[in-house]
Amino acid sequence: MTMKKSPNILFYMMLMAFALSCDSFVEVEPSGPTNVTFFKTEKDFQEAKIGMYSALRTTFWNTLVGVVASDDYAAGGDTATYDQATLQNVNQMIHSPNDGNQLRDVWGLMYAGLNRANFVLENKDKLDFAGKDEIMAEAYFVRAYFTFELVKFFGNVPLKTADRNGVLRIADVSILPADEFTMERVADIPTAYALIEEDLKEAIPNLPVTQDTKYEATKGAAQALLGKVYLYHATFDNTKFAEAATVLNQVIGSGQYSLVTGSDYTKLFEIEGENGSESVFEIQYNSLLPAGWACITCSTGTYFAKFNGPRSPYDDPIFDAGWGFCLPSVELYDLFDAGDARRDVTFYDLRDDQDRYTPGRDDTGLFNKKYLPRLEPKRAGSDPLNYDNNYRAIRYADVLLMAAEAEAQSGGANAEDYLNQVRARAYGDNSHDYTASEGSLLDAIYNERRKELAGEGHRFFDLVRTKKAAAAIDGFTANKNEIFPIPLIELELALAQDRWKQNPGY
Amino acid sequence: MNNLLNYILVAFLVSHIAIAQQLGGTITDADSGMPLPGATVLVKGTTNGTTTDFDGLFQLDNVSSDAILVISYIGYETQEVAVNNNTNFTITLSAVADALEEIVVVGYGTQRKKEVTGAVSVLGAKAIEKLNPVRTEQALQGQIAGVNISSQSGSPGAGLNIRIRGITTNGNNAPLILVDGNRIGDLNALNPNDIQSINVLKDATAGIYGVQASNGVILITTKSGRKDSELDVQVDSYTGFQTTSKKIDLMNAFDFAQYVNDATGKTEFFVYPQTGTDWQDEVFQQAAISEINTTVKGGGEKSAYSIGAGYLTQDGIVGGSNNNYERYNARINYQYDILDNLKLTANALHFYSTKRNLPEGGNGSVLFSAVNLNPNMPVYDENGNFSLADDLSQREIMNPVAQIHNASNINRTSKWTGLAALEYSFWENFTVKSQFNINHATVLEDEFRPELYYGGGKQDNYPSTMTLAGLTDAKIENEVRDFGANYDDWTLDNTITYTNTFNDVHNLTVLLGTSLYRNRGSFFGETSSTENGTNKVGQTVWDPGMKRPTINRFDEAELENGADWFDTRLSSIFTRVRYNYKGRYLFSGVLRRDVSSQFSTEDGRNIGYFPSGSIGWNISEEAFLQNVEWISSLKLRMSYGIIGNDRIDSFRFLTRLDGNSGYASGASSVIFGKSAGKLGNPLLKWEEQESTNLGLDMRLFDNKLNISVDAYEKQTKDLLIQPDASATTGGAAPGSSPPLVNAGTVRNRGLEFTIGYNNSIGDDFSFNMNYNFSTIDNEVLSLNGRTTPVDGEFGIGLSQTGITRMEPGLPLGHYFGYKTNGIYQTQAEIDALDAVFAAANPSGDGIYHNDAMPGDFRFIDVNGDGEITEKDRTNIGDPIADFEMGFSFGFNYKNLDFSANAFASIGHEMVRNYEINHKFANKGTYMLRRWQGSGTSNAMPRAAVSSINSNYFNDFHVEDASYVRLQNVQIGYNLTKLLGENAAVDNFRIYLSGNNVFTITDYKGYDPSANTGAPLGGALDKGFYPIASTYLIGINLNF
Repeated sequence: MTMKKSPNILFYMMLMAFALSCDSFVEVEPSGPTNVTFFKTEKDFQEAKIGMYSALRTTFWNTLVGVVASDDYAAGGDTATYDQATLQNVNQMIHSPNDGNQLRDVWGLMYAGLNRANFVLENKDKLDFAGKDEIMAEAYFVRAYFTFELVKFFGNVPLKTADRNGVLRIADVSILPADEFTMERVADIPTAYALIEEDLKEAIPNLPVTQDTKYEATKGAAQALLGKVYLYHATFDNTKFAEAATVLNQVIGSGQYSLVTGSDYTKLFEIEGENGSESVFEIQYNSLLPAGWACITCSTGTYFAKFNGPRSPYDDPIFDAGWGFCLPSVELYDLFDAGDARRDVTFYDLRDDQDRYTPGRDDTGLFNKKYLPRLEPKRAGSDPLNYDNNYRAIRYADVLLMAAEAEAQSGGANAEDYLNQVRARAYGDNSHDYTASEGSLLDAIYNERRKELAGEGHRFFDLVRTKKAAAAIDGFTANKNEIFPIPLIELELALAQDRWKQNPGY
Repeated sequence: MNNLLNYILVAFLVSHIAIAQQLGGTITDADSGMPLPGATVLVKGTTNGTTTDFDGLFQLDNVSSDAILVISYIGYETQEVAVNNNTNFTITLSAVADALEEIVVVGYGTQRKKEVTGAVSVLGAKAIEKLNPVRTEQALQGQIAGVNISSQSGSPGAGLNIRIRGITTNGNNAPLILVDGNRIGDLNALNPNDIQSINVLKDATAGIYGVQASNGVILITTKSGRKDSELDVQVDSYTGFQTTSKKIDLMNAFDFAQYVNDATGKTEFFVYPQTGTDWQDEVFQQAAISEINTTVKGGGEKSAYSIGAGYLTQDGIVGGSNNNYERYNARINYQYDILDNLKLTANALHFYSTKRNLPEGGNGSVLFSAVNLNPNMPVYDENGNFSLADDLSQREIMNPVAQIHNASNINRTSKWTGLAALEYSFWENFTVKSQFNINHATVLEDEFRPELYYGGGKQDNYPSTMTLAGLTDAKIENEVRDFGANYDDWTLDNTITYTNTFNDVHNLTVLLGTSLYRNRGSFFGETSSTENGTNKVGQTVWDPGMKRPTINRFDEAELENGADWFDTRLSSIFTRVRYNYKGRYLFSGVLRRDVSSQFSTEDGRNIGYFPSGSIGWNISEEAFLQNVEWISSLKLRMSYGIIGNDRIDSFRFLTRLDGNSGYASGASSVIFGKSAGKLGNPLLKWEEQESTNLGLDMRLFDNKLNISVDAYEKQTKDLLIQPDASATTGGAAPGSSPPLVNAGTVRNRGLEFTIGYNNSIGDDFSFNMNYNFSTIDNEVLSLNGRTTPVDGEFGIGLSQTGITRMEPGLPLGHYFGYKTNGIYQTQAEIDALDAVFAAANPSGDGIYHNDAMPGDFRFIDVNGDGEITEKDRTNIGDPIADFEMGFSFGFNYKNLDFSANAFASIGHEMVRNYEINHKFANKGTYMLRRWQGSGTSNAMPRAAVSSINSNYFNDFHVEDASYVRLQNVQIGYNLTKLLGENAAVDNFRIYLSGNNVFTITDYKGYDPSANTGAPLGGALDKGFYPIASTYLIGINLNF
């Protein structure tokens, strides 16, 4: 209906509503902090530090791949399929750049941890507070840990070595896929080890000898890791053996660590044995939070243990069923004397009880007991992804054997003593001390490592760095299988087929 | 307004015309028999006229006996009646089926169909009613060319996907849906019975919705009352039953035993079983469905109202009442004229549903179990307990009858929506309208997990640590989990419209508007436990006796990181100018400016401008066609525009510190830190779609034949995708992911053709038929150098991943695997191929096809390098149909009515991903025709239990899922006349109807129309719950 009236108040209200529409309406503060707004308080640094440590949870993939790559363990798994194809391929040394899964997990998750450590280091100048140096020292340690894993697996990996703000020696956290990839590989593997050594040397002075909370790195942990890196470095430069001996002797000389003996030793890999006197650095897991398949890396527990369990249906009062991977060889079992306490800690022997579980692929009746899934403690949630088993990343026994090796290689006097300490713990007496009739001391040390550290993921890398892999591992191709291929997809995604090039031989 | 003008005209003219006679009568709706108040009655060739009153009555004076009355009413066919000395008339008007005067809703306003310049399709209440859909989406399938509906599941209450003109993005492809102008996330909340019309904007004219428009816009109008009308009560009800539309042909126990023996070297079965369990028969059942809806409407002098309420209960064809869905709806539409020029509209809607969930869709689902479970296993063991699927350990295949028995998860959804609008007209040509919409939804998921054991190695065992009977610690507590979400959004739309006509020929409408939109969600959840022994379906953590909370869904650190909420906003200004010259040359132009919270404010990346324009030419209005009798109307139209899509998660332009950072500190505590979550990309911006449409509308032979043809092309560029990224960025960290980037272009183009014919033969018989046909050609044009996004896994839980892809030159979501060419028949054949390869490649390993054995598929050397490698994988099909057709037919004969609708989708492929490669998993009967020695088969591979070549994803696993489906057939009878004149009932109809009566397809899986809706991998069939065949008896009652 037509109305010749002047517009009334309502009309003005409508016009005002029009004006309401403005651009600032859409500016929403994001929920929670962002990478830009963070690092305003000491608490922020503490939280970023925990974030960095928590990435260590994902290193169990490395252990899994390391174990099946060795000569002593078969891949295992389901009989009906080529279960976990990459693990099967690694086990047979026929892995290729096309292998994704676990190899890509190692690649991706180690870079993820590296980035989290960098996140702390990159922001170190944002705030000053007492205790900051220690946090930074821990970040150097954690960065070294992840980088060492990368170099062990993939050789001279891409590590941005430009020194920005004095911290970014290893990689730039702020690379986005939207940017150009300019990261280059470091010159060669020894150079990569040298970078890791720099980080550890940066860490050691500011790390405390002991930590109240067990997950945090100590001075001893950094020194032990540095000694380990030197041993790997020594494959390319044998002057590093002496440096390894020096730093490992510092760990031994600190008096902070001792071998667990007697009945305590039989429980070393159980809950009671966690973070004990033999633990130099340990990766922490527990099963308090439920885990799910939607984000399998989000579990605060480990499922390396689930991989190791006998296949279901499996009937046992202590151990839980698993997926039947990482099966020890009978040959390895036979290396142990009956009097060696390590035998029953290393193997779960079901050879006479094969009706109690479902034999899988490559079944030997033997299982990797150090990291078996246990029924207790009861886990939160129902998905089998969170077991409690801490990963004993650096044990004092390992330190002793590394020190023995370093001394033996650099003319030190303590090699035999260190080796005998490990043997004495295994047999409970000194009657198995090293004698020259066994052969060379160095070989005795290598053999001791094989037994002492069986099933812990070190053997393959020890064989590689001591140049014994080709002789020991079926299918191993020298000058190729020492390191793993960079997953092809990662070369493609970084537009780096030409720049990085695949590792030699792949 | 017309009526009032007519009153004035009548009053003005009365004195000029000689008195002839007085006459009167009633005008009623031909369909319902209801009186039509406000209809115009005009003496032809004069200005003498009137309008009907409240009861549809009219009176006219001074009508000469040879005059002709013209009766018109908006939305009805105009009728002419000769007076012929009659003085009392009963005139019935028929509603316009699809006439040019029909009003079409086009976004912030309406338009006469005749003046529409875009590709807009309309579906009216009548058509919806005939289809009896449980959900609104079902009414769209096959009815509108270019609109595809796929079901995520046939489970009661499950969602449906609407796709308008193909897949335009590999993100969210759902159209924008507005109900009475109010944004509705999904149509679940709306009872189809309440819908007056559905308008689908398919082309760039949707540009009035700017950054939200690129997937198309669906505008739904709900039924409203009419002013000056009597109380009208409508009751519609039906009841019936549902059965499965399909069972998969599986081997029986005997054939299966033979197969297993064949595959394992005759070691498994020493005695062939003669009987076994048909697991599909065990899980499928006849299921009940009933619905009742009532609507009350009417209106007074200044107000009109429509109030509706409905109730639906539907059991599942799997699980029966354990898979039940119940829905309650209530709504009110109210209009009130505060002043003659100030109108208020207020609508409110409430929806509440409960849905009992079974494990569905793949690994661990009931149907997945039923298809794969060993047919030799009995349902119950000798003790009467559910038998355990131990021979399929480590596979999530369980006794499905036990799974149904244990199902105890309930989803409760409650929604409130409301809107209030004020419309004010002033200065003759102006109208301002302000509309405020508000929506609230609460979704609660109650999960109850009693002590469960399905056999060794099943993830669904609870607690999963439980070992074989006898060793179990009896102190196990049942777990209860409650997760929920609250969603709240509001929209404030303000528009001002100017309408005027100059010199009687230039018609101009200008719209200017603003819109503010805010959408928030918050999430919560708790887990608790009860003592062993209770087993109460739907138990919640708030029930008495619960030990809560054992675990919060979010720990404090995550809450601090903002894990529990989102907030998205949009601020928009838009304008539309419509002009036409004599209704002959039509023009419409739109410009919208959107500011979105989804993008960074830096450099104005959050601001988008979306222009679109359309033109039309009503050729039939031209002089040269005025005398062509058989052409009722002919219109050519064209549209072009840029529209957008911003539907991504909030804050993806920032890196928030919500990565997963929990770490065990000792055995008894977990500490939480902070780390990068999904990596942000500050350079993100909206997707942009360039849309072109050319259309032709024809009405021929007195509007009896309608034809519409549209050709379109849409290019969506700057697609918001999350491609795989180099892990050196840290994106592989727990809780992190690579960033979203703008990359890639997808093109959809196609043709749409619609033809409809309706006619009457004699007084008693009328019929109509409609057919539509549409083609879609989808191609990814570029990816801006990004790595091909891949998704999907073949062999559930196994590791053939990335089998669907987005790659330039190919359809979005195509399947990627080996092409086959028959079966290797003999070892000699394989040796010969090896020899050829060895001769050509002396440095190679001398093996043409690794591990090839007689009975395996011959893969084709696609890349021609002389051997079969992973590089020979190629495009082996896609899930997008080449063309789709809808056909409907209906007739009325006296009191009898009949309608039928069919839909066909041709040329889309699905993957039989419900088949498990395991010794004791059942197989389809097609494997009875397997290769069993040279010359036995060149199509089906040998029986095998291990990973053999034939199990690598290849074209054998991809099947043409073309189908034709009789969607609905209904026969009704109107009993009103039998009840006699004096019955209180105005209309009483009874009908029988069948939905999804049959489907013709070669596809072996359950449902060729199923799709999860994901652009990549949506049609990997992990055992889709089939859509039910439904048979109903129902009534429509009106009094």
